[in-house]
Amino acid sequence: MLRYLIRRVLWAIVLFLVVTLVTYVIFFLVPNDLPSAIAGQGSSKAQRERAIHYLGLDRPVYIQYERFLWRMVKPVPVHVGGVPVFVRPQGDLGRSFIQATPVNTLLKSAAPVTASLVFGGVVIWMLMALPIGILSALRPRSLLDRASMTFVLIGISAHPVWIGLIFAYVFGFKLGWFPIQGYCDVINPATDCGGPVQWAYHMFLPWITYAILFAALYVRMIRANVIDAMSEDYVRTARAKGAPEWRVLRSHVLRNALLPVVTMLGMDIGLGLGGAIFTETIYGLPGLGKLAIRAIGISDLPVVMGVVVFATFVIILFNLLIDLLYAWIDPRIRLS
Amino acid sequence: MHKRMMLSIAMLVVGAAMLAAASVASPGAAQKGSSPLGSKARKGGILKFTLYAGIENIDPQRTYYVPEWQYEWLTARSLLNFAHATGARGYRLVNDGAKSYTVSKNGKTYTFNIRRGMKLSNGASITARNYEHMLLRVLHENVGSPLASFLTDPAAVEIVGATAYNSGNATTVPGIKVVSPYKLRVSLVRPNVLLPTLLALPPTGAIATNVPFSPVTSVSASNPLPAGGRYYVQEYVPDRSIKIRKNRFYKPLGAPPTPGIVDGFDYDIGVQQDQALLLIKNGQSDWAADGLSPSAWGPLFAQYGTKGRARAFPSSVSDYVTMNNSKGLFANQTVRKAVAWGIGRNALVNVRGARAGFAQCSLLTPAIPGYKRCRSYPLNPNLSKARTLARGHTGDHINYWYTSTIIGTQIQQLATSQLNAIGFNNIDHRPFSSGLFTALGRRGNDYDFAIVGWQQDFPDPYDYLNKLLSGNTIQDVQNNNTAYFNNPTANRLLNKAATLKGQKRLTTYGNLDNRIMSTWAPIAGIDNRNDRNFFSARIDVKSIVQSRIYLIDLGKLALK
Amino acid sequence: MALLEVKDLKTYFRTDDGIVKAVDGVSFNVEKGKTLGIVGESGSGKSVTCLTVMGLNARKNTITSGEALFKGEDLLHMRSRRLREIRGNDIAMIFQDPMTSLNPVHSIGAQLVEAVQLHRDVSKKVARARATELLQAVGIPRAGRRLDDYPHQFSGGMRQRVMIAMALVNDPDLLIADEPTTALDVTTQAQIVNLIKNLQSEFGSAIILITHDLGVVAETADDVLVMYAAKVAEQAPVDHLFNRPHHPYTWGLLGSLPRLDADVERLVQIPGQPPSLLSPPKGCRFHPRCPYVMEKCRQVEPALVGISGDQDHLQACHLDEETKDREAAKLLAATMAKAS
Repeated sequence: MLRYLIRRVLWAIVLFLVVTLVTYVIFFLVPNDLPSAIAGQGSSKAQRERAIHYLGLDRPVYIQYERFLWRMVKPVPVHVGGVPVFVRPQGDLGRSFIQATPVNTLLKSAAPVTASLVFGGVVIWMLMALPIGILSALRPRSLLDRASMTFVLIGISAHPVWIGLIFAYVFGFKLGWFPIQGYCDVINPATDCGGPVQWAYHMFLPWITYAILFAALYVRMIRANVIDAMSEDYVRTARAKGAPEWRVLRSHVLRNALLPVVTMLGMDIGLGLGGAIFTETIYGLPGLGKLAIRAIGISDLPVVMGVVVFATFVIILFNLLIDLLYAWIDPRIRLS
Repeated sequence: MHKRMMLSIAMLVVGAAMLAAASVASPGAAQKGSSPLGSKARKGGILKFTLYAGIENIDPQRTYYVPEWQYEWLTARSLLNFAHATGARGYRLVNDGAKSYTVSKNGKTYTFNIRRGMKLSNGASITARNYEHMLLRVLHENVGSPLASFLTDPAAVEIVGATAYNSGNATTVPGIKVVSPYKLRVSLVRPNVLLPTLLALPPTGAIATNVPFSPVTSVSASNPLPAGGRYYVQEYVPDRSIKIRKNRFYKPLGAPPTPGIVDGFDYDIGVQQDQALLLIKNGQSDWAADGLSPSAWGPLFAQYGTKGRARAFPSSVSDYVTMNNSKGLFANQTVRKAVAWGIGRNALVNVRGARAGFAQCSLLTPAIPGYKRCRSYPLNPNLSKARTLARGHTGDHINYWYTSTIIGTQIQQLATSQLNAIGFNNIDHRPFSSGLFTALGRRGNDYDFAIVGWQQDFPDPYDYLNKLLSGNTIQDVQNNNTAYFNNPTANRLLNKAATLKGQKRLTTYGNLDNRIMSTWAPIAGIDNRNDRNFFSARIDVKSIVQSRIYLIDLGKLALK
Repeated sequence: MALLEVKDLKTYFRTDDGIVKAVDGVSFNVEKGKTLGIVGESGSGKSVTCLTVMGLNARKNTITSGEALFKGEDLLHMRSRRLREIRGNDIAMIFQDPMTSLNPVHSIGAQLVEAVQLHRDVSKKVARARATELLQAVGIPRAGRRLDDYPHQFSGGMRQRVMIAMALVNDPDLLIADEPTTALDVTTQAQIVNLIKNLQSEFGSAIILITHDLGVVAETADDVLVMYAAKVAEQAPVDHLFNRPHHPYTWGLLGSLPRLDADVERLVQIPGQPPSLLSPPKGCRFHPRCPYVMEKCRQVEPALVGISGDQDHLQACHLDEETKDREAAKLLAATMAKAS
């Protein structure tokens, strides 16, 4: 197990380097108008040169990348009671080109918002997908099954932007049941509105919007997995032992059918944390997706890199955790 | 089979429901209960604004974006200011932070007498040191102020020693001197009349002397940002909100008072534009400070007209055709005039939506002092005249460069069809996802034709006519004179106009704009873009005032 | 009264292509402590017969008729609650592929304990003790330590032993073994067959052994049921069948038996394929493949009747008895000759 862990961590580092390097290269390959954006439209040539030089953008790309990496991983001492005890990587992601705000500050403020959306969304989509998927599998071709397959079709086809606009319009504007948009922090509110109740109240429509697509995908997957599991031989054995249907379902069918769902869930959470762009934009949630979109649009390299670094880290971490979890719950892997 | 048919019917019903929902969701639905007439405006209250893209900077010396300047006009106490008046009177510069100022005979030295008794929002007195600190921050390279270029411009305003300070080669600026607590002297390398205009811009408000030489990125109770204007920024949470409140220490003290009726403004950042419209409609927000989506305006103007809650008026953005005067087809003046006669200005404006702008053939816009209406060319194509002028050259090759956004592509397609109508059929297109203007600005490139827009850096015709059309400023890269127009007579006239002051300056520039267009037609003006606004029912419509410089004058807004 | 009396059992499946008659009129009895072997090719209906008796077919689109009286109670028309009490308790079943028949994510101890606790109100500790006992009985070394192991940690033969242990843990009166050795290699097959035989004498349960292997039947069964195309071709006590087989299909099966002690050039095959159960052939279902086919066979379905002098021996064939005796004798001589 330990060897597996070490190997995975090494691979994760390699992956991290590759992803960040590729992002850097793409950024510099895509034409942008940074000098003008940074120094201003009316700036002179000298002015722009000074601005570019100040930000280090006149150095070769590999030098810039090296500086970026070093700033991130440079070991700084960790003091305990004034005495340096051990070291940690500095983790400095620089400052935004356009806003001059430290990227770490922007990430620290945006990450909890995206996390709220994704984790809440996960709960909701699993609450939706599990019963619908399982019931559809137990009664294939029934009215319930066909209705749920229709739901799946709509959920996969309808774009979150469209869903979000409709929900905000119907439930927010016309009916006034929920806020049209906006975000409230759970703790340390940055704006007037804060606290867990307001937070959940504002997040409700975004959660549903975000969850629908995934719920649809998971209904389909769970239904297929359960149908497959129901026709497995060990299910027949369980029935032959005299087990009642609910026990067959719980202990034998679901235990096996839902195993792949764990893997998928890990991957989807990791991807979602990278930026739930559409839902965040429609509902005005100041999360990582929105941050990334804006930064890309104005060629704000440090912020783009910051989001990429954070997202990569989170995705890799989550995949590792899920692999470990899966290895633990599936005895065939754990004991091999 | 029975069950399969049921599924098909279910899908049909769902599809119909989706179509119905899509039509319901258009934001043009009428809002019940419109405002009663003629209520008296009241003082006080907090206005709620939304921003989609947020602001880029809260640091007053770094701001450069219309929504930022819009509130900064109220928070800054600059040495000079623009009159809060409508019409042409709105171009007048008045003394604000400076009680008076004198200019030396050679025009190079300005001495400002600071008004006594002014206070920042934390109660601290404002003296010459505050203005010195502001100028140093503008020029310091760590702060990164866009205004630095205008104070180190060898072709216009250059403060003595500013360039060296800005490049980090000096630690002081000899050209800025605090002569006494209430006297500030600014010395220029060569005489230029633009300095007072520059010192009326929002980034030049007095600032506390302890604000460091690095960008300010957030404002809160624990790290405040005091300001000397009618209002001050009480709180800024990046990407979330801005809170602006009244400065209780503000007193006009003899200067024309800055208007301020409500107690403050709350900006909510990150609100998507369709949502912003809904919020304004049900009164949860009062105004979208950076606009609504283009498709929203048609229904709004249809329902509310243009004199009530919905308004449209000229902004400083000027769209024009830029033609490469230095080579190829458009080195020929007659052919350029063919374009000026044959381009369809009204049609091009309408691509942007309802009341998106006004067609014009000048470069200046009504929002810029000195604007004079251009009558040289029609707003709709005069094809016979255009074809006559273009005869013999219609087979020549045109490299048409354009921005490949949705609007950009639509405009390109329309303009291409208009060129075709004139007779030009040999057109190659090159799309740019971004950076078109910079690419046009590289001397020696092979573009012939492009449509660009220009927005003011400061409200003076110099910023348009000299910047964009003077041959003296052509350099290797980053040219603003993308037409590469270099005519000795025109250059002489432009330089002369730059030295004039007051009304003479404005009149001369207005005439010069028209003359350049009619005589040489280096570019072809297309339109000026409108600033379009929609307000909630909470706002007293009589308090919505548009002035040339301030656009919507926030200080005059009042709740019903 | 026999332990299990199956009378005219029919199982039809509704499919998109029509009705598949998987079992079309099968009757047999199983006596207490005795072994019934059911033989036939794949698709003959032997597995479905037992699955129907246990009530393990999918409920939807299945039509069942007939009776299956277990100790007097009709399993086919029983309330499902009562049927579940009997399953795993009085009647147990083991299946062909032990790898897929055991749940890979539960330890075998957990699965054994589940089998116990479904029918006995005992603590986990007691159930585990019982499980260990059974594992020892089926010959798994260090049984107590292996309770917490997972199916994939056992070899094929071991897994089948575990399945057997699980089936016998509640001391059932009847054990149904559906091709228990087909998925195993030859040596393991022999071990398992021996195990089953020993356990039968130890536990006293009746066994229904489903197989396509006549050799296994010869060793273990008391009675034999030969099935073809959802119907019974021949059924008799085991030595009667082997000494006096009276159906061409049975002859085919016997002739195709590979024998280690015989010098055989080629295995005798029964030509052709088993028929479709959607639309079986008219008349005798075996007639398209029967070397002895007559015109009558094509038209009239033969009834299952006894042979003279042996009321326990039933067969369904139009051939007259003398011919059948003659052919049977020929076949036996041939196989004996080869053997010597």
